[in-house]
Amino acid sequence: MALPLTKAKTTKNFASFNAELDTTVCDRNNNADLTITLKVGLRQINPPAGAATGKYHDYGDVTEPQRDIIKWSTGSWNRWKSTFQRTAQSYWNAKFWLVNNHPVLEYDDGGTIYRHNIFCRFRLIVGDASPGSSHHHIVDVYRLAASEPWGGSHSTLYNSRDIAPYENDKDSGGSPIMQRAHVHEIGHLIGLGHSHEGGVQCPTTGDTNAAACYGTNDAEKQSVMGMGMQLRSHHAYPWRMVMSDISGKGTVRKPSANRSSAAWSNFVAQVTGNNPNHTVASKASKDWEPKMKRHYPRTAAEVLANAAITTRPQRT
Amino acid sequence: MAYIAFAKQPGRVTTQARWITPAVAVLALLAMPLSACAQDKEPIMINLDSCDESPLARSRCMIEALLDDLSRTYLLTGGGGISSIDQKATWVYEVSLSQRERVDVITYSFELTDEGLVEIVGKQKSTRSKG
Repeated sequence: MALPLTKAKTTKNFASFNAELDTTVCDRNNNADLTITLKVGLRQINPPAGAATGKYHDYGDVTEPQRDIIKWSTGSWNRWKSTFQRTAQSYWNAKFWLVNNHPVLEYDDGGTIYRHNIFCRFRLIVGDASPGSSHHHIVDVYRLAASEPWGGSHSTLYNSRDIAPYENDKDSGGSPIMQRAHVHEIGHLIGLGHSHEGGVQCPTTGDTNAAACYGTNDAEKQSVMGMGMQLRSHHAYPWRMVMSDISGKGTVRKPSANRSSAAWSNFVAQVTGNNPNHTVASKASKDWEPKMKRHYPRTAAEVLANAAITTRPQRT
Repeated sequence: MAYIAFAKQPGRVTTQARWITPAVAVLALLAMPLSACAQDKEPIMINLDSCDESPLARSRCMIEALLDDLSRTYLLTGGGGISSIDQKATWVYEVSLSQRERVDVITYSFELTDEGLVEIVGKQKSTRSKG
């Protein structure tokens, strides 16, 4: 699809989330907003027959060990939902800017044309899943008893402690690597894979949940898509993918494709048609290049100079 | 890879005897009634001349060996611990360790040496994905 030539709001619904590009906010200092909206429906898992306590299998799999669970109360459920929504949204919202290297999103302000970058927003809408309700994903949640140190969970089945910091591992210096699991799981729901996915020890053709996929060194382990809480610029992939799709400009690949030599070879073969006269300049695309610092709109001269405007300019 | 689970030793030996000096062992035995095992009338001892002296001895040797190996090599601090240890063949045991989104599975293969010892001869890692 092509971008409108005038300021407007452009929406597109993907299978995993909705996206809205808002250029009505664009001026000499403000970029376009790209908001990914994820609707998650939550369902309580309670002990059977209205009992106050009960058992629940790890991962909801009857072949796995059972953990003691307790019934959700209205108050505990509402508090959990609120914390889940607030902390996950704040973690992913307003962390990335995409530098616009295409002749689009160019609008006049005071007689000067500015090329606008993309400010990446994230909105998490949480509700109770019920018949007829509409969500991108349904997540079941069980409430661990206080005596239970741990319970098995995954992207669509949480335990009540998955919103709290938990030590997954230690780094090479012996410091704990902590993570609030739900922010990692939200990363999966918007399309991100594990930190070493596509790497030598975690080929995309294998099981990408294998232990090595969560990181083979401290940096990968400390990534939010590993075992930690650190955000990296390549985690802007979902927004980059949306921009490439909405604008029809640029090539964006999943971080795992940039990491994997096999996936890279396949990509090059696709792009060049295996024609040796065609070359692909860079393994990691610079299209809609992600930054973790605000990049202000640029004038034509600044674009020509390939300038990065990271402090508020004095525009006359 | 070669790992000896049990050194053949005369008389009664504890499972930890390989790692502690006799003096420390005596102190440990004296202290045991005060420990978590205080309800036991006597310290739990095993008497093994060979890992092959009975099916239970074989199993115990292999399980002790894999537990020791796991303690040294499985360094992740999170997760739910060991969820199962299954015998898959006479000389093959499979250990499952619960982690979020997955179960880490380690399959150990053993051989019995001429001395009646158990040796780890193979170790394969795999994953059961969850969710």
